[in-house]
Amino acid sequence: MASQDKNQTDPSESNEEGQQSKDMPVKSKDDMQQRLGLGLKNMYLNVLEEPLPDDILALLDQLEDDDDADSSQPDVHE
Amino acid sequence: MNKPRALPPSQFKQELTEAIPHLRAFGRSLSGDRDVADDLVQDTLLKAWAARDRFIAGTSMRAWTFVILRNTFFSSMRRKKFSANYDELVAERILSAPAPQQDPLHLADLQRGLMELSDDQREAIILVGAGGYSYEEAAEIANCAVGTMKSRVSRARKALEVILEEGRFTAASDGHGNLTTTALENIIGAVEKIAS
Repeated sequence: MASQDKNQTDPSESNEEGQQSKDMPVKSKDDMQQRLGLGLKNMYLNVLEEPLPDDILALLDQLEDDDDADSSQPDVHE
Repeated sequence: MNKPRALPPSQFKQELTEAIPHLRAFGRSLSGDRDVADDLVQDTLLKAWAARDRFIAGTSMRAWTFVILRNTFFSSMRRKKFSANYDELVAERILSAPAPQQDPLHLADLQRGLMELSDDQREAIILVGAGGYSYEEAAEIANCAVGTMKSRVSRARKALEVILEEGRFTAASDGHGNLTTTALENIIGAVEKIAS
């Protein structure tokens, strides 16, 4: 599976913390993690702020209409 | 014991509508592609509507639909209906204001970096790091133990940092990784079969 394949080459699997901390000053690591955190949140927020596509809203309306139509069918047993 | 109370259709629709922006954000981060994400959201809405009797009033609609979306995504990935990609349209967007001496963090780089992670790690860091879910909530959505979720997030953060620092992108992040891997696996499989 692709997921497992990627896991096998994941740098975090083979490159332990010790190696990373030797190569990177702590402050710059903290800075990078802060930027990462902010970047991830902004990436997510950017999408939240987009207007909803019409076709998605239309789909919900259609589902509700279909529901209404089903429930307004006359009961054959009446 | 009382039977769980289902929501009236209008209220269900209202809550579902409120979850859509979050579904789009989760889907886009998972797949790296706007169109794929919106297809995923539509599939999710259809499935959620069909299963609305099973949604329990008072519980989180967002978490419930996230489970549907991620299950749809991962099962479709296995069937190759969707493939993880990154959105070139956002290539120049800058996500965080950098310190003067730092290079800006571009959305495209971050999105491509996410695509380099394993599916499990990508999902974990999106839920916790981007979506703001607690480890407990994220573990419930991803159907794993809380400790596993913590470990995935931690590994994802470290891996993403290394990828972005070193600019270590592979074909996995340009949408061809899955196809290439599959083709390669097929060839190796065929060669091994012939050799045996």
